[in-house]
Amino acid sequence: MSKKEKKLNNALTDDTVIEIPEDEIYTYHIEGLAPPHINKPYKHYTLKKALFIIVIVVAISLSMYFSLSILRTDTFTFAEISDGNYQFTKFSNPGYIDELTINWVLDVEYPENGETDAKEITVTDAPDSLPAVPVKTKEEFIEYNKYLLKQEQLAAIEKAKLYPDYKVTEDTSKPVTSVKEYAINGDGYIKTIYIGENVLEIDGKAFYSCWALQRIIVDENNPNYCDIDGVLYTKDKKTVVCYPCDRDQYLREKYGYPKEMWEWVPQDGARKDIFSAEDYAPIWEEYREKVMTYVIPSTVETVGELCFNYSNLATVYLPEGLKRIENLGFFEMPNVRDFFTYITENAIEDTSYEAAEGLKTYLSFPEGLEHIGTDAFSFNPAMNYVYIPSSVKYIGHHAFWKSCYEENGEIKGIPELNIALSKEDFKENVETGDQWVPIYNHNLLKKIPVNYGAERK
Amino acid sequence: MAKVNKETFSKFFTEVKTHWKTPAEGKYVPYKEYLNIFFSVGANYTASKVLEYIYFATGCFLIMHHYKLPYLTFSIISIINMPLGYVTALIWWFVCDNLGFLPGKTEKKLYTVYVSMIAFGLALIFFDASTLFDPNSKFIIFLNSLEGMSATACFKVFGTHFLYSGWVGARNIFWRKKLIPKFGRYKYSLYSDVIPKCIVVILIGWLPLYEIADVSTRVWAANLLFAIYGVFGFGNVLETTTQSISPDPTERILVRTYPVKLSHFLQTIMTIIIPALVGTLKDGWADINFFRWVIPGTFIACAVLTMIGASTIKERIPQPPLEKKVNIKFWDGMFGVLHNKYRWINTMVGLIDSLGNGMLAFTSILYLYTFRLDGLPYSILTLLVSFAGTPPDLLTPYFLKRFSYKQIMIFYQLTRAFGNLGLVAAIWFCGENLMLCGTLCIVVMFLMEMTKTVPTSAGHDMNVKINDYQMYLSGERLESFSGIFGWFTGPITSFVGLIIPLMLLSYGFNSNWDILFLDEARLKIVVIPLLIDVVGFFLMTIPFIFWDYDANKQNKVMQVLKRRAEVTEKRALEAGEKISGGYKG
Repeated sequence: MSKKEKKLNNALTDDTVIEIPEDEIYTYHIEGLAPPHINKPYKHYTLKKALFIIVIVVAISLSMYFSLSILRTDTFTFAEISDGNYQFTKFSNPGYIDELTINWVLDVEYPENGETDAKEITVTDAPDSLPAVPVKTKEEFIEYNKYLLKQEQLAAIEKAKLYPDYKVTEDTSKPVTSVKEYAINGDGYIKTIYIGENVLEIDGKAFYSCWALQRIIVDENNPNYCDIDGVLYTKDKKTVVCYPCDRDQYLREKYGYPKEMWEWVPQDGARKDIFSAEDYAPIWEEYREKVMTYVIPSTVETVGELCFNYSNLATVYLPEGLKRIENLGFFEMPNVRDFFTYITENAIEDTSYEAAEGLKTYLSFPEGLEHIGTDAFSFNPAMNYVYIPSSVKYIGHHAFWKSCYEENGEIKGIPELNIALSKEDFKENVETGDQWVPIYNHNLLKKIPVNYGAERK
Repeated sequence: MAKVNKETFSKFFTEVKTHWKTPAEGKYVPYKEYLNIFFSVGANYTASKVLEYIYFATGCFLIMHHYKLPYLTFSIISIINMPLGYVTALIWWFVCDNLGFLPGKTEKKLYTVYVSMIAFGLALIFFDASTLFDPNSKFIIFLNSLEGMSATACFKVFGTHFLYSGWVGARNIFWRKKLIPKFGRYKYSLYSDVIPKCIVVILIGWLPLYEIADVSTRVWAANLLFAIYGVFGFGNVLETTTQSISPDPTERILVRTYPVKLSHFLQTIMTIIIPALVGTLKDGWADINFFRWVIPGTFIACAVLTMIGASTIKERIPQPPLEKKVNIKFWDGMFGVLHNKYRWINTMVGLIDSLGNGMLAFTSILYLYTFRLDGLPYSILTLLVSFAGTPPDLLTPYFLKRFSYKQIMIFYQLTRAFGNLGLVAAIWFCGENLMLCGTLCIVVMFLMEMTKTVPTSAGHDMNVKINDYQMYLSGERLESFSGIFGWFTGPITSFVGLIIPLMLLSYGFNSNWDILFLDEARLKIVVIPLLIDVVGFFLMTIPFIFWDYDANKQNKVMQVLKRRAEVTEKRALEAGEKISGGYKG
């Protein structure tokens, strides 16, 4: 075919006219195309139908089988590593396992003799009907919350009846020495993780977004790790590795609060009916102090990657020896307002609010801090003051991202960044990533001001 | 020059004025209809684009920020729904390709089936069927082992699919029969769906089902809500109608290239306005007010505009009157589409394309996690990239004349492959410098968008031609029966489509998108799936080598269709029979 003919073939229209007799309208065969087949029986009709059905049924069955086999995840997955030990690689919660011990290779069994690892749910002693509102005192409020908690517990008991009896078994011939990154990821049920003495290495991202995790408890014989009241540290307590997302639930139980409390917001109609702002304020302050305060021990030099993410803290006390805050170290803590640095000559290992009493403190980050990782303080809109000391050498990209916003023409959250160094010294000595200064107006890309050579408040 | 311009203008205005209400000889569409297309298709297209913010998958902002459902759960639900989907699809095609006109007895039987399905579905939703089994049985343990699910949730998801299938099936017969004779085979659905769709769009934002604490309960509740949302469609059907607006392919392309393309201008404006509104919300894309106010407000306004102009756009497929149309028997419909060689080629392409299934949208990751865009900057960048396709699209008629469909599609797949390789190179080598990496990605995306629109238009045009060819082959377009190819590919694609999600899970991605803020995680989550996609694009060039449907064949097909319509109508009129819905072209 010549080039010209080819072009003609590609043209949108073609003027060839064909004559189609009236009695051939449903049978006229165009050259180069299949002939029409309208209201005519097909050859080997039944055979074709049968073949078709068989092919489809086989294809669907195979697909369902393989897909479900892939999707049916084993509860525990371990990988054998070169030294003959095992790495814990993945946990897939069937929905009723709320604690596990990582030390040996685990499996889950479903005994028929009624034995189970599932714990009985204890029902809180609370009134049978909803207490009258508005409430006035802390005691009345706690009674009110107890009632709500009891209803949740009764519902949970009903739900638990649908769960099978199970036993988590350990294979004591297969020690687990490491926990891989994202081994437990996006779990909503696990409350307590026990780390045994065999575990020598835990990736900082091993327990990522475990929404219900209250405590990580480490065997005291473990050579590399320890815990302080349910928070994971390296044995030398120089690095805080993981603060469980839902540790405040553990603290609530410890201090006698039945349910989570939230800051009283005037716009919130529902809470207005339960409590007045004046009556609520002192109770909230006490709750905030006991449940939402954390003192990082004085030995700590590094806050690990993703360490405090999603935790429900409002106040954090940092030791003056802290040098590094790794990437996403204090990421998305919606209630965190204050960071204090404390000075002490005695070693402090008590992490409760009581430890902070009487400490000499100053606002914001410690003198001596050198490294602020990427997104280290992102999505913390309740923060209201930042002071970057002269010791800081590196600030990662988006370090304070979305920790400020505009409301009614005002900057909320972090209103400005205060820098100890002068502008020239800062540019010379500090490496910064993109957008390290946060934007408060995203339409106009307005950044919060940076005060160089600032004095600490 | 000025004289030529003046003359050209004057000639153009006279032409428009003369043929404002009646088309020129040899043409089918009057100019007034061009104007109506501009407004109504614009509104319909924008409304359908706004609805793209709501879908039951991990990429939807509502699921991402509020429901937070595990990533694999979506695959599990689609596998639970798969067997029933096959059965209901059969009936669906049969009804659709007969345009809702069924023998009385068949219609009754189908209604009985659908109502029973609704009742069964409701029973499974209201009562917990898992209580009928021993909790320690292997079956229940297996169901509990599925990620994000429990035995209870599995049964409720199953029930939801029954409810959904019965409900859409019954509506399909009822509304098609009632509305197709009046509004045509495409746009009838706007009239039956507009009001319920508006209501469900409001409910999606306001029902706080995402506050349910238990994951598996949240899964089935969200699945139910989104299934109800899916019962009512509000697709871009007016634009589909314009694909059949004329039996003349040149006029079709002209309509598609100018009034239809220009009508997308409204959506372009919304592309700026919506993100700018989001920029004013405290939590940006994560703000629930986006789904409570911005989406319903925009959608309802566009839906109203759509309905105002919908009646003015006509479809003109040469076809016999509905009373005289070829009746499609079930197996004839099945074998009819299987005899269409071009559908096989498209199926092969789709099958290979499934290699990229389950991949997270690269643009979302780039805009939201690399660039951290919100508000106006997001609008402007999105607009800039999407605008890249407009100038080439205006030249679509030229490209379609100059190059064959085969050449265009092979070129398209190769540009995707090389474009994705460019993205991988930018991320791999400049990943640490966010601005440089992002800028390089934007340049590559701009080029990819430029080379996308002509093949997309060519694809749409060819799909219409393939339906014309099917009508020549089987006496009906069999658009629904063409879903049979999905029967063959579905089992394979659902299996292959698990490769990327399982890979992403091991890189830390689950229901929580925040992991993408970690540079190292983002690198793996983006690069590996992009490379798999590159392989797919190279392979997708192979089936197009066998494509040989050209303008000559199309012209002859259209002549056959016109002749059929003409003869059938003539015979019906001679016999004194009632006719409706036919078109002779």
